[in-house]
Amino acid sequence: MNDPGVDLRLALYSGIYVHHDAVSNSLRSKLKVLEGLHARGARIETTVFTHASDYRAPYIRGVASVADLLRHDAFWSADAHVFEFGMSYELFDSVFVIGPDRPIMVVEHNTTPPELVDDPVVKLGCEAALVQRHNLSKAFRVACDSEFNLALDRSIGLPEDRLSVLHLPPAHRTAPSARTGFGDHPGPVRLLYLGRLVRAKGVVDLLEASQHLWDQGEDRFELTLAGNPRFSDDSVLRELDRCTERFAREGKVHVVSSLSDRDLVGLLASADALVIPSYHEGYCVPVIEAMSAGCYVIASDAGNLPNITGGLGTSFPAGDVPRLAAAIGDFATRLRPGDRPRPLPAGAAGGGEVRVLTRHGELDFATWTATVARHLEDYSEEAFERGFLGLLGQLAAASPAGLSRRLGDLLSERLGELERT
Amino acid sequence: MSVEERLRRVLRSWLKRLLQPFTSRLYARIDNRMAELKRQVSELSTLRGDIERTVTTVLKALSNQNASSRLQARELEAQRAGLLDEIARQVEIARKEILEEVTQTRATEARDGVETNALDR
Repeated sequence: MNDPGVDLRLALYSGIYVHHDAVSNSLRSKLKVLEGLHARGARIETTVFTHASDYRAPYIRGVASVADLLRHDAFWSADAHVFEFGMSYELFDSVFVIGPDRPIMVVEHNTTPPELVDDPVVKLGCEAALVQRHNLSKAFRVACDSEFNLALDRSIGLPEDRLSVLHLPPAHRTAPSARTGFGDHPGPVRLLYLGRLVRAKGVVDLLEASQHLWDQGEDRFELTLAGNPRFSDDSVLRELDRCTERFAREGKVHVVSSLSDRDLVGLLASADALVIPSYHEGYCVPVIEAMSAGCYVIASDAGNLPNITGGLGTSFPAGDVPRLAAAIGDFATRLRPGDRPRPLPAGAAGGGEVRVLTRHGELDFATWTATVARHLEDYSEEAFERGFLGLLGQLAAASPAGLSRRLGDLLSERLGELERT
Repeated sequence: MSVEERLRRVLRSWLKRLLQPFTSRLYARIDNRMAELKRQVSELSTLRGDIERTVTTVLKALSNQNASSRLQARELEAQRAGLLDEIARQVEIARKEILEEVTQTRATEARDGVETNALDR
């Protein structure tokens, strides 16, 4: 028997719901917004259906198959359904069982093109996702997490009035940057790569460009690569081993394979630039996290990178190793203009006069920081909450439950608060 | 052992012998029924597995069908748009040819001194 006092019954879906996963973080951000509404008095019954999760909560239901899902009352009684979609997963086919009166929202995260994937199992999943993406035609609303993904969904013929962009907020809350300028620390410039160690991410290009520069005597930068070997390509790991054999002893390259959230925040806070040499990016959360920590970005022009960097970093054509090497060399030269690393005494302010390349011209630290802050407003938790609450209101209004007065008032109240901040 | 106790034992043994054929049959029936129930449970479990697999397969087939229908529809739409473009191109060529012809006819008639309107023909 349905409780008449409930404002909305919501079923949320993700292939997996685990820590340190961008798609899972998207789901977690929504749950956080829903918890906020609940704390204000909204009665929203939430159930998360997933194939696997390392989170523990009473509303998370692990389901092995779509047949298993169909046995759950919470599936049939849900007023609206919200799916995360990137990789193909069986539960997403349940859109063909959901009644036409129950609105469906899908969050589009994009899929790595199969030709860039080496692992045969992952490759099959990516190929299946190309077919399964057409399930989006059953959606009442499709929230694309980037402008690049919006273009992708337009290209498969989804009606414009169903599409919108909902940027994901950063997964890690970084402390306000304590930097006083670019490269305001002693020693070489610190470059950071963050992500899976796979071919599609261009890691081999980055290693090649860095080794080329080091071989030429450019010793004004060091490189840290942080990525989980469990989700890595063997060929990339072999290349990384070769590089570390040659340069790790000199302190030029560091590999971090196990990272807590706090370690990650620390790495971003101490790096001078994040380097993303990817061949494909549907969104790229690390760029937002790096910029929030006052870290410059050197990124390829693939996928969503031109949008998410906002032209506030250096861009180079994906796969162009000489241009990547030139970008790194230029950045090192700007931060350490001398032939050798400028030995700044610990704690000394420096780099204030350094200007970095952006699409808006060369910017000094203060101007760059202010411009980045404006750019990041669109990628903030508040912007995400605003967007999601708007979509939630539309879902509720289109559902059999309708938008209850209580929920409508609470949504307006919270949206008003967000507007004022 | 008392007489009473001994009598009870004898009676129990006698009763056991007397009922033995009945209890054996009863146990056999229980065993058979249990085997039958086990077989039915196993069949139901297989049936459930079949249904679950069918649900998954049917939904997957629906997803594939949906994707191929949409792709086909988009292809047809593109073909239709291409056809319309081609027709528009042919009409434009014909229009230009007619215009050219009319212009030439008018020029010829003006030169030859015939005052007629080419479009009246």
